[in-house]
Amino acid sequence: MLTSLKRTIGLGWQNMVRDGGIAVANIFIMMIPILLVSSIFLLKDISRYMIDALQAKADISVYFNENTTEDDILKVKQDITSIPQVNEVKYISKDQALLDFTERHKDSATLMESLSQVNGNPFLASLNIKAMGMSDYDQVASFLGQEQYKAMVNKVNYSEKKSVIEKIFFLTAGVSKTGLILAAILGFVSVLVTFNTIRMAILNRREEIAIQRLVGASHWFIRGQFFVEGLIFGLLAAIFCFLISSGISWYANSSLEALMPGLNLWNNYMAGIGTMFLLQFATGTILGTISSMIATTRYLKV
Amino acid sequence: MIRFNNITKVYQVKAAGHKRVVALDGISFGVEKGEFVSVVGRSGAGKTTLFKLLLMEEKPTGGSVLYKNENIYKFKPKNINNLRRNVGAVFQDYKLLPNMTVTENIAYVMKVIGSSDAEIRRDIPKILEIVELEDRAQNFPAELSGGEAQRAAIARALIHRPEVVLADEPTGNLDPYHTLDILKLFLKINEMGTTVILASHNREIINKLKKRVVTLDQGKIVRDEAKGRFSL
Repeated sequence: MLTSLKRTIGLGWQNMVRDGGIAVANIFIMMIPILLVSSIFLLKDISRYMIDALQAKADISVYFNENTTEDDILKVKQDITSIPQVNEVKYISKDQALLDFTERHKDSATLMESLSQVNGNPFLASLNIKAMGMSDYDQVASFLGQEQYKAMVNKVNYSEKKSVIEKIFFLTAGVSKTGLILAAILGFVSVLVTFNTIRMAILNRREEIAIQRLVGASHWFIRGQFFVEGLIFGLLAAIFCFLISSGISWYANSSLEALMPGLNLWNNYMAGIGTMFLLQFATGTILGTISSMIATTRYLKV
Repeated sequence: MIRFNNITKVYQVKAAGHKRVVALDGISFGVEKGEFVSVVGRSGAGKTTLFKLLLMEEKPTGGSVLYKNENIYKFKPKNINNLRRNVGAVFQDYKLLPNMTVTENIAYVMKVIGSSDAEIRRDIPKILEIVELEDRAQNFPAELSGGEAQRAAIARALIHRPEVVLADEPTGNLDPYHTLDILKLFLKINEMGTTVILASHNREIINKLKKRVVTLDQGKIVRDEAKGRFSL
């Protein structure tokens, strides 16, 4: 059995090497679905970053009355933070609000002039709240509408921002869904293309399969050779794709970090490098072996 | 050992508007173990079709083929493989594996039957010497002349000492020297107990052999003589 296995592997390797041109073509075609899977893996970090950045724009602010003390505001902050659906609560004091405004509009002479005309600090202390999802903002707004907070709260700007927040979450959910559907369609098409390419390569060797059958080779002895070939194609394609994806991650890292501060593609890639290779290896070898097995079945009926 | 019972094979030729071509028409004869039988006839008489049926390359339209009293068309896949391993076939179109050298083509059969590497290394040089292909051992079929390819096919058919040798026009592309050598080889292995069925339309070869001759004409047996001569 071991001898037979060894011979099958040897013959599969020999066939692959001797049919070099077709082997190269098969490997290139198999790289398509593997690169697709790899790009989904790589892009997930980028898309997550963009989605998070977009969703971070969604927030609501609670403005407190002039006479509300900082201790009371901080207590309210604590209450809101304890809501499970709340991601982040930031306290902006009156002074901080004035500083932020001045910094943001320092180049606008009109606004600076207007500010100097107003006596004292016109800004109110506030809490800036970021929740997890669209429906969570409703919950936070309802929470702040309770009787106990009515005396302290001047305004909650949720109703003005509600439509914007809805659009943001709708867009990001749409992007995720579209991405998944697109990936699934492209994945299916690339698998079909790969399968057909391997099938065509085996079609060219149907006479060879017939000769092997006529001299008494068993189905598995013949199939095993093509299985080995498919496995080698998949493995080589995976290795090339691994090198390409590593190269792209390293090369694009600095450019992407300039565009998306805080996103280090290379570090994320290295953190998941084992998973990436496993994914590529699994895609390549499964595709190669299954395509070969299915394609040879038809020509084994001699 | 081998028995053809009322074998009929009809081909439907699509290109000719599904015209029926009767390749074999009610053929019945037997071949005993250790016998040497020549099957003769014009081109298109049905000689190759007979061999294809025995190797199960095709199915008969009617009748049955018995090998050791068993209907081969009722064989399980494992038994089909065993049949083919017990039959060494020399095909008219050689049927050499194109991506393998002469040595590898011959070795393939030995690998299929499970010979050890040592046996392969021992036997292949001997058979190459017998068919005078030592200098072409590492060449691929595309690099061989017709005669060399035929000798390689013969070597492959004989390397594993099969019970039955089917030889379809084995000397068609050979020069007279090699033709004589190959015929002597077939006679020798027949003396050692191998059943040989040889198909040919070469009068000289058949008459030289002085063995049983089954004559086919238009798919029928017209003559079956124990020490026959080629005559149509």
